[in-house]
Amino acid sequence: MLKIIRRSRYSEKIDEVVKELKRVGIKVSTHLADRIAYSKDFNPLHLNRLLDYTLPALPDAVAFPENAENVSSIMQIANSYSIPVYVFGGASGVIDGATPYCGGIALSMLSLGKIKIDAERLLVKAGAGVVGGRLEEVLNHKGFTLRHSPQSLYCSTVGGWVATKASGQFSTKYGNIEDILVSLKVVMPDGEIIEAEPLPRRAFIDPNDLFIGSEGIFGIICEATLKIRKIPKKNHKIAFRFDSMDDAVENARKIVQTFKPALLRIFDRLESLKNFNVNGVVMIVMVEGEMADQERDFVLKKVEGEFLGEKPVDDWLEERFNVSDISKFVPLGIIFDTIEVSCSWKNAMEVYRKILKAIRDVDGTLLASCHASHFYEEGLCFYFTFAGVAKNLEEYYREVWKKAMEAALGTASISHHHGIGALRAKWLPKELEGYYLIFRDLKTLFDRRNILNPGKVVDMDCTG
Amino acid sequence: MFSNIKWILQATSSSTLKTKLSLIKEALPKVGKGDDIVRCMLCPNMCLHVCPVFDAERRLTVSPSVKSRLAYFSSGGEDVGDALWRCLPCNACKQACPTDISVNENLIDERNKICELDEEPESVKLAFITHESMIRDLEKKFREKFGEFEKRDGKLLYFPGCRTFEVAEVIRSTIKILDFLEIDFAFRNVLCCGSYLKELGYLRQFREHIRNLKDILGSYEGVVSNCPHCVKVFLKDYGIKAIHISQLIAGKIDRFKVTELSSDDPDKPDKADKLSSATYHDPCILSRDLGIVEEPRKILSELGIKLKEVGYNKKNTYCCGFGGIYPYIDTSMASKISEERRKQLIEASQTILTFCPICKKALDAKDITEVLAELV
Ligand SMILES: Cc1cc2nc3c(=O)[nH]c(=O)nc-3n(C[C@H](O)[C@H](O)[C@H](O)COP(=O)(O)OP(=O)(O)OC[C@H]3O[C@@H](n4cnc5c(N)ncnc54)[C@H](O)[C@@H]3O)c2cc1C
Ligand code: SF4
Ligand code: SF4
Repeated sequence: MLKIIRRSRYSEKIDEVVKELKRVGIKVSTHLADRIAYSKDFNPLHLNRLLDYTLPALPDAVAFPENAENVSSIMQIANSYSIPVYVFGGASGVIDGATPYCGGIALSMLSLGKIKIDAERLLVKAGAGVVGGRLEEVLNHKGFTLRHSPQSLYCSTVGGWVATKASGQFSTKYGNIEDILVSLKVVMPDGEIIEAEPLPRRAFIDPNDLFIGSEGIFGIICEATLKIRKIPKKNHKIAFRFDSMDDAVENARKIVQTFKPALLRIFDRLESLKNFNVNGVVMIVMVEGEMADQERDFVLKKVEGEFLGEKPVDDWLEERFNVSDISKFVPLGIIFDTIEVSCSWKNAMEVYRKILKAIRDVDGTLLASCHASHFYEEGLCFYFTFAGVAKNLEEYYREVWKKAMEAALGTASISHHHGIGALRAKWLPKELEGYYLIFRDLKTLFDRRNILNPGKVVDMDCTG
Repeated sequence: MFSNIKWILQATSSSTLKTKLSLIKEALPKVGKGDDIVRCMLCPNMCLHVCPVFDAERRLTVSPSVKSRLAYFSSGGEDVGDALWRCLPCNACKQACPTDISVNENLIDERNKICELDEEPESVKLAFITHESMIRDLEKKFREKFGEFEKRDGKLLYFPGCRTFEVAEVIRSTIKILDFLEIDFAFRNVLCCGSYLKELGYLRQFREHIRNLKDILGSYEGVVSNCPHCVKVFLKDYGIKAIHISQLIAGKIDRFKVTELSSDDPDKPDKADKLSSATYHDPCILSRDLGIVEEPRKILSELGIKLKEVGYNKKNTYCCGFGGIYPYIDTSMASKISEERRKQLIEASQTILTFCPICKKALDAKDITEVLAELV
């Protein structure tokens, strides 16, 4: 019954590779159950296919390293056989990043699961495979928090966050993963292990910057030291209603150019109706910490919207990890996805309208909505949600992405936090312009045999 | 999402006529399709962080959503090995799941289908044999060790649960407590509720087991057990009256008050003094399925024992690793879970109390019945 869209080109090598991996003490499996488990990320196209027992790809083996030394050995062996290695965290990525289209080895980072808290320096050292939700709970039990809370907190990993340049729900105040990250331990594609001390700032280009958002093409993140903080004791929640998205966005600008609330979100009419049963555009704000009172007073004084009290914020907090809609849509043959872009205040509303229109104009779109989710002094992130139905779902889906990316290019960055993977790779040259070739050269330099996550980001061979 | 009609109408208002027709053609015929296995395999694993089996094995293969995916592929004819049995009846997933899905309970039907075809993996067959022989051994060992407890008859059946016979001091303590409380109770030989048959997927045998055991249980007014698994199965699958020992004790806790029990008798030292503080491990089934979280705390508080709560507590507890069939399928992984749990508990207090014989053994803890028995 099992159907595989893109078969491995490396199956004939795998027995020898597995033998070699086992010889150096690496746990490795060729059992079908493990290979099915590591066959895809969470790109929605794969979900609709699952119902039909179809997988996008199937690795020939899955390796389970337990430390950086194991990862290094795996890379050395993979190099000597020129066999691809696809890095897996929690497989919650949505842009076809981990999906092993070329076959070869799926590298499960989940056994690198140690957590060490340094209460004095307010740091936590976490293995790449530590699951976010677990890390946050362990910290909470000791009175700390990471305040990095992507919606996928419960199913994504520390290594995955760094690799995809993830962004959490409280990023407006506390920053994205790059602001929370202090140092890394990385295995390079040739197997070399490099590690940096956790220092507040460092000379020259920060080596972290080579790996944040590199989606596993430059190296394998084995360990990350992250900033932690005491759980804030005080917070205030406030919500407003506006007549238009334009008004709400303008009010948000006023806030974030004065101070950064922990949480700030603006939902367009459709999402406001769905989430809060409100006709209009809802803005939710949460301020927390020592300055919470002053920040609340500022918001109440300056924001020109209809005051809705705390309830919408509580409702949102309660439901913020509930993604069960996906499981309801997919069995109906409906495809459902999100597209996030980052833009400046200057053309924010143009970006919002252009992309929404581009998605809506594709035949098959049932609904398209948007919220603004992350805010900066310079601009914001718009997060579009769409659902569609068509005889050929893949065609419909690719058309929506094409139209949305084309609308974004030139006025916005094509991704705010989900990344590039295989899905967005074809629009990256335009986004990066002159830098694209530099990154491609770097990839060649680091990974001469192109075995680490081939077919992703700057490599358009072997994609889905 | 589908409950908000106003929203649906507005959401689809801007779609073209062709799209609306597509919706009718493609989506409407599929309404109602998709059971819990399907819904779960389409979820990005939103309970991954609480699954103890995943935590021990560190493989997506045994993660909640992927086990559902594998069950789906298994139903499509693929051989996925024993992954579907690598689960505890802990329901941590259900506790975290926005749609209340229990992965373990969902997998039972697929396990059953495989067993009915006689295609279950060797590890499953072995688990069955191991459990059966354990029960036989226990009765023998128990009689050797605790020959003083004879079978007796009464209105309420005291049904320790087979695994309680592995920690016979809990049975001795419970009998002492039931006598102290002047309960008219019956006590029989080693009996198993059969939940392991259900967990393994031998549903035909499980139903037969229920029929046989129900004949015996039916002659009592109800059942009291130390084992939360037995109580759950009696309530849910047998449909008989059953309570956990903690409920019975909590209802009569006044009788155990330290002040009333403390005496001048030098043979009865003030045990509550020794146990001035302790941590409490909430057994998964007791807390999540039976909802018993306050009773044990009430008992400890009445005894003057200061409770040092562990981070994972009450319904957000962390499994001991030894419930259900997982320890038979993979003892070393089950032990890894119990070590992790013990580490968490020890950080809170060196003295670990619990209310389940299986957890007691796995965590090297003391059952609260033992604490009480020392006092009476
Ligand atoms: C419901 C849902 C909500 C989401 N919400 C958010 C959100 O709020 N914010 C956000 O930023 N993202 C979000 N995401 C996207 C996704 O969770 C993130 O991209 C996350 O960081 C991926 O982590 P992971 O461990 O699952 O990585 P995976 O999906 O396993 O991998 C993602 C990419 O990183 C690479 N990679 C993984 N681990 C390593 C490593 N150790 N070293 C090198 N490369 C590695 C992989 O090869 C792949 O290219 C969401 C996804 C879902 C399904
Ligand atoms: S049990 Fe619920 S939360 Fe867990 S994977 Fe399944 S659907 Fe998701
Ligand atoms: S029942 Fe327990 S072990 Fe099984 S999937 Fe759920 S959380 Fe994991």
